[in-house]
Amino acid sequence: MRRRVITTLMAVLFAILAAATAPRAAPLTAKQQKVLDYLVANWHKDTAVTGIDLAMEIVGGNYTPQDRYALASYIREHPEVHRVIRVFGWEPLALNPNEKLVARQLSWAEREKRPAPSLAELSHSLGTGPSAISDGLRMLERLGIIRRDPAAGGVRYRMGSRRYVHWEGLGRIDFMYHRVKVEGLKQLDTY
Amino acid sequence: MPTFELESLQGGNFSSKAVAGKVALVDFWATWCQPCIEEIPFWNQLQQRYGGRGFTVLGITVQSGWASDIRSDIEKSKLDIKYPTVVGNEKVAEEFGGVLGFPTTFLVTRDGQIYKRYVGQYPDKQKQIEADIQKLLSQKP
Repeated sequence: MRRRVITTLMAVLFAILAAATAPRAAPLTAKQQKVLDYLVANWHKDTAVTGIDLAMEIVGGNYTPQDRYALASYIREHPEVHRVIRVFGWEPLALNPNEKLVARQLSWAEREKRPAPSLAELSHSLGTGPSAISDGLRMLERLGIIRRDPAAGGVRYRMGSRRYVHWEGLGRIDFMYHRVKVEGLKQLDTY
Repeated sequence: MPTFELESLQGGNFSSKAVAGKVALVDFWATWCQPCIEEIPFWNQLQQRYGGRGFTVLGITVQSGWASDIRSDIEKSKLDIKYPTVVGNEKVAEEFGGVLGFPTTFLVTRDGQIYKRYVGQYPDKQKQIEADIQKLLSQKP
């Protein structure tokens, strides 16, 4: 009996500790909230699925990758904020086009059981400078979409979960929206 | 056919065991997919025509949000779905062999084997599907 009580208490303690150590998105700053407010008002209007990067540009005011990371983490943990997050997933809304292209190359390599491409290969195939590729890798890693793996070859990253290797349909990480400009409207992403 | 237990739009959970021993038409659809919506009356007809003969249609709704989102869309668009419909996910789509586009429909034999996959809309699709259903139903269990 006593042993069972101790086991139960230990289980409860572990559950509390696990919940306490799980990453939680920090509350948004007022400046970041402006971007989210813009997105919530924009999403679903004229089939808009505008990404955070474009919204930051439209709202203006020197947003940093840290702001985008905070907003990405927030929508990942709060799908109740808008249906667009629930339908398309947070990833295609959080990543910028460069990151999606980098993720696509890494995902394809892993799917086809090839070593990860090198920085030079990524830079060459995406037509982007190595520093932009490195920035993309950094953000993908922070968001848990890729993880470091010295055995992966090339840039030494693998996808962070199996779902990113075999992912089809509109909500996949590498899905590129059409960035359009309609006369009289602000730029928007659509599918 | 993969085994699964998914949230039913009719309430509660729906287990793949419920279609065991039946010829099943499994339709992966999304509430924003117009061609998928256009096929619903035909699935209703099939359900009505063959439902009593060991056949069922099962709608698996994907990329359409939570059950509450889907129910609200169904209500708004006045979709009259007369067969079990569940909330799907990436896992079940992958286990069926992947859903690259909509609509993607699978016909499953009585012993749970995927008999055929139909992707998109094309001429004679409905005729083909109905002929395939009749063929599978005519085979002895």
